[in-house]
Amino acid sequence: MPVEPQPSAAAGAAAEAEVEVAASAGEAVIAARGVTKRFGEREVVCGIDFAVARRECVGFLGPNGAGKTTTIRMLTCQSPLGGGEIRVFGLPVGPRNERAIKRRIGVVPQDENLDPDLSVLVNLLVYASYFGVPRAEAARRADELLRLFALSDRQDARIDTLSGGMKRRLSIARALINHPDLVVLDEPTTGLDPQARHLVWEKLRELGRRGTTMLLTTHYMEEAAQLCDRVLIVDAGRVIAEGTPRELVRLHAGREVFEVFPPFDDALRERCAPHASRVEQAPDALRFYLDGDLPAEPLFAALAGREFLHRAANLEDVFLRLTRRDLRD
Amino acid sequence: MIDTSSGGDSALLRDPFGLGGATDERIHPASVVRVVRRNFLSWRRFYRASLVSALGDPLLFLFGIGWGLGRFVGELDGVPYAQFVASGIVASSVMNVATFETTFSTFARMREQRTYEAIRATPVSLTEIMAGDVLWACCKCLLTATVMTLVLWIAGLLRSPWAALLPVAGFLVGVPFGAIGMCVTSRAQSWDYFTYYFTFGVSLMFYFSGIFFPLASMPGALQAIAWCLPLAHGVAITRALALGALGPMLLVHAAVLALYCSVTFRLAARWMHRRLVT
Repeated sequence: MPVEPQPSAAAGAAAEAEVEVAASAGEAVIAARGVTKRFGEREVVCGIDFAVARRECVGFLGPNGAGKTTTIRMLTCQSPLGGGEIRVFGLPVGPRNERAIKRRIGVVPQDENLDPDLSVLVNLLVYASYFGVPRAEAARRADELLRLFALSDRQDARIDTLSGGMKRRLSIARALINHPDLVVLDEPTTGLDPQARHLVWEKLRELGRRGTTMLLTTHYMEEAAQLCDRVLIVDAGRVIAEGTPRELVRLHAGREVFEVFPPFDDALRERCAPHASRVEQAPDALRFYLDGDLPAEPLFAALAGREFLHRAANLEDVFLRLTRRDLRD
Repeated sequence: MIDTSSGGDSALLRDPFGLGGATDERIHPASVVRVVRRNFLSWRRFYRASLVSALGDPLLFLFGIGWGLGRFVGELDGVPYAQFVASGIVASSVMNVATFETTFSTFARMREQRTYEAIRATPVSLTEIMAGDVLWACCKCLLTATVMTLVLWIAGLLRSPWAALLPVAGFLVGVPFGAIGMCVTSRAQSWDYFTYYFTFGVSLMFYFSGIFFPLASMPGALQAIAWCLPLAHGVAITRALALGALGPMLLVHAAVLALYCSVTFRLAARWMHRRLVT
């Protein structure tokens, strides 16, 4: 259990020394318990618990307004903690540890806030200076990061001449300039075209292979499935499910799905239902889920002559099932 | 600058803004300097335009009013009118430079470019970003005052060797105006908001701080009000240096400006935290 740093002039140094102890003891990088936050009357985060271990990539998956960004802003010390407790690197989030925590985190914000007055390279160098990285070392790191993110040939370009994908890659490179022990990415691919998105994914997977601890938010199921070791499904300020993407799919959606598109009638539904583990009727499709080792052949037979889609169950099915309550409202 | 704005005793240093420990508010000079450096690097690209606007306006004004009008006015307080106005224009130029920097430029960085948000994700605190912006505004004041001093000296409008201190005075006089601009910015919801301050603050000070006529020539009550304006004290300082009329009153003027700066910077920091740290 880490000791609270004393409010002395040496608090910064003490906090850092303590962090080393906490990290070497193998403690979780993030441990959050009962986290809440309200803006006026509106409770945005209503008691979230989660933990992130070293070298893990954890995803917050949820719709807009689920409280993902608010939670991230609290744990990166950019927004005061509403209630509960968050420990980052073993340090309780709060004014006393703000600098010690920020020094070791890299943040990729949802909306790009690169410095438009500075070139690509100078963006990285100036950002490094905020962390007190010595200039020669900053130049070395910037060079390496520009190469890693395929931006070397644009290093003297102004920010407004970059494409959306380049800006996002530069934002991620910037978040790595202080060699952070934790990288927090808020919707790293929102607004990017498919090609740019895949390039960002490739870079993030590379970071994952290097052992970077990452926490990211997304509302793309595919992104969570592609990148995350573990996913927390967040809805209306609460964590409603947690597990590896595979576990979540197996547990909440099943093995495979038959989707039938409108028009469909009750007769079809009644004919197929006995062969499925679960049936879900939505305006856009009628879905028959298969769990465990229930055979698929009877459904193929029952649907013969109709157009249908047969596919593996995915996180989207999990998500729709878990938030079905909201759709019905 | 940092010393004036963060106070003396240790309790004040720990929580100078009365935020009750809501933030880690010890100001690290190194962080402030990093923000100044960022502003310098971004300014390097536009420095020509920036110099032209900072110098052109006051100099045109000075030669038009000082020499043009001066021929009709003759001498004021035993000083040729052009010299009288020149000694005050240095202070008002500094006010303009500092005010523009911490209103329009800071507002752009805070809202449009979201530079404040980007820096707040690093160990540099919000108060340090603000202090860096004010300090940077003062660096621009130093530059403006230096170039103006040279031009005025060449034009023969400075008659005391003490005028060599005008650049330093320009830097220091810039601090309170930078801090006041910060206050305005921390309350501004849109660009229009600044119009109020420029009309009722900056313009008012420009005309009623003794640049064009001695304050002593105004009725007593108005004189008292004028001496509440920070620019009146700024003008008194630059005029004393330009004309070599130094005296103990300089300390009083400096003290008033220091008080202005200390109060307004604290206020700005409190308002800015309330606005951005949510």
